[in-house]
Amino acid sequence: MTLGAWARLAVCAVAAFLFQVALFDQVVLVNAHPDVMIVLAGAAGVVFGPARGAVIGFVAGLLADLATVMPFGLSSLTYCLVAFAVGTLPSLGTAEGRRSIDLAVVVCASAVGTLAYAALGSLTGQGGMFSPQLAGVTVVVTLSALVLGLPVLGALRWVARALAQSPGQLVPPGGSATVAQ
Amino acid sequence: MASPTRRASQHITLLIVVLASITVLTLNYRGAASHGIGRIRAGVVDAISPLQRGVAAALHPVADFFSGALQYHSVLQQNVALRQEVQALKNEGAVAAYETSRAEQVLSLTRLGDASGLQSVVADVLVGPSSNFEQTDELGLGTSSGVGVDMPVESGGGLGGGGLVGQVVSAGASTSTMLLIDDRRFSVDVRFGLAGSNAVTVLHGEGPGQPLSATVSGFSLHRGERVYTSGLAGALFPAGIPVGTVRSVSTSGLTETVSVSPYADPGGLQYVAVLLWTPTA
Repeated sequence: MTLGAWARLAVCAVAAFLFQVALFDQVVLVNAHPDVMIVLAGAAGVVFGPARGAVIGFVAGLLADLATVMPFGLSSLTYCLVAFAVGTLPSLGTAEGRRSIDLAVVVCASAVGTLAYAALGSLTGQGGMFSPQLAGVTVVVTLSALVLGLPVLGALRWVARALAQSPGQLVPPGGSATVAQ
Repeated sequence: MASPTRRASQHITLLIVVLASITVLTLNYRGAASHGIGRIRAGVVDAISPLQRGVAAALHPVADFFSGALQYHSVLQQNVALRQEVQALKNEGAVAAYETSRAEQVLSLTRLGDASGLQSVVADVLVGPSSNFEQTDELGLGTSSGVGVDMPVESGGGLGGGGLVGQVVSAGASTSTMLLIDDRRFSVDVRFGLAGSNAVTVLHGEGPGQPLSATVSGFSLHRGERVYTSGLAGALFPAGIPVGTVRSVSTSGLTETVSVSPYADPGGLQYVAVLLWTPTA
């Protein structure tokens, strides 16, 4: 990745983090709030593929963990797995219909990621992760991913364009960046 | 379709980031590293707090408008209920004055540390938790105001009644993070009634909107009984902080499961008092 692509990625990640802590944390419905960081991880898998998606998910998770008192690294573990899993999904649809498919994948990834976070949290000894509240959290995160998915995908495609402009790098639409042979 | 070489490379990348995540996770359980992570987190929260304050100040009027519009009927009902509660509290006030004088006499005879004589600082509540899996609030005061880790936090008096609402778990220079009483990781040593049954136990948080719970054996507890921090040796809270009242008692064999409704309402806090008290090692 070029310096320009890294810079754009840093801008996206930090902006998502600031939106999360300053805005989305204050939008509370049924004791839950939107989670843009998990949307970012899912979208990274869609746009950059499994390997780069996992790295971006890892970094997004570290950022997310900075603002909580949950074990540091729990989000990064969850997000890198989610991004990798999303990145391994085969590309579906035409360029016309891909946008809505990508959004659907990101929304599903947000729901699965929330449940995966609870599961990994339980494995690391956090009590009460599978409480009745989990259903509300999953619903709120999933519904908010419907709204946040497109802007986040757009932002990451802006990063991918910088990657495509660099010599020897190709980014197929909606797919993983590859080195030209 | 990715080539086998490419797929292997992707799996190696995944392995590296998973191992890195697990390494970071294990650091949480190592004393010095955990302390370092706590300081970094507190520093980040300090740095972003001005932005959070600004956005909160802009959002509160909007949120209040929608909240008022959507809950108009329940607000009216709440208003009637609160008027009745005020009247009842006025009546209780006269009785309480007499009981207070008696309690002071008893306390003067004991050597227990009591929360009533402790200094406190009033902090504004900035924002709620950043994770959907924790019940925390960020406070607008930090170590520069004397706030430190493990200090108890009380809600204000008001009509709902004040009481223990949480404990500081992280403190930066100008902000701190409080673990709320309804977080499932929260626990507090309590006793039931100042001069009542003398049952001593540990209450645990059970999630947002849920009463706290504990298991006791060998004591007869009753609905409505008041619960205070015990302040026993090694306890994380000083004695005498009101926690709540017994909501229900269910018996199973020799043990009783007690549900306690906290006095403090952890949802929608605006100001809290941090007691400048830290547990002795």
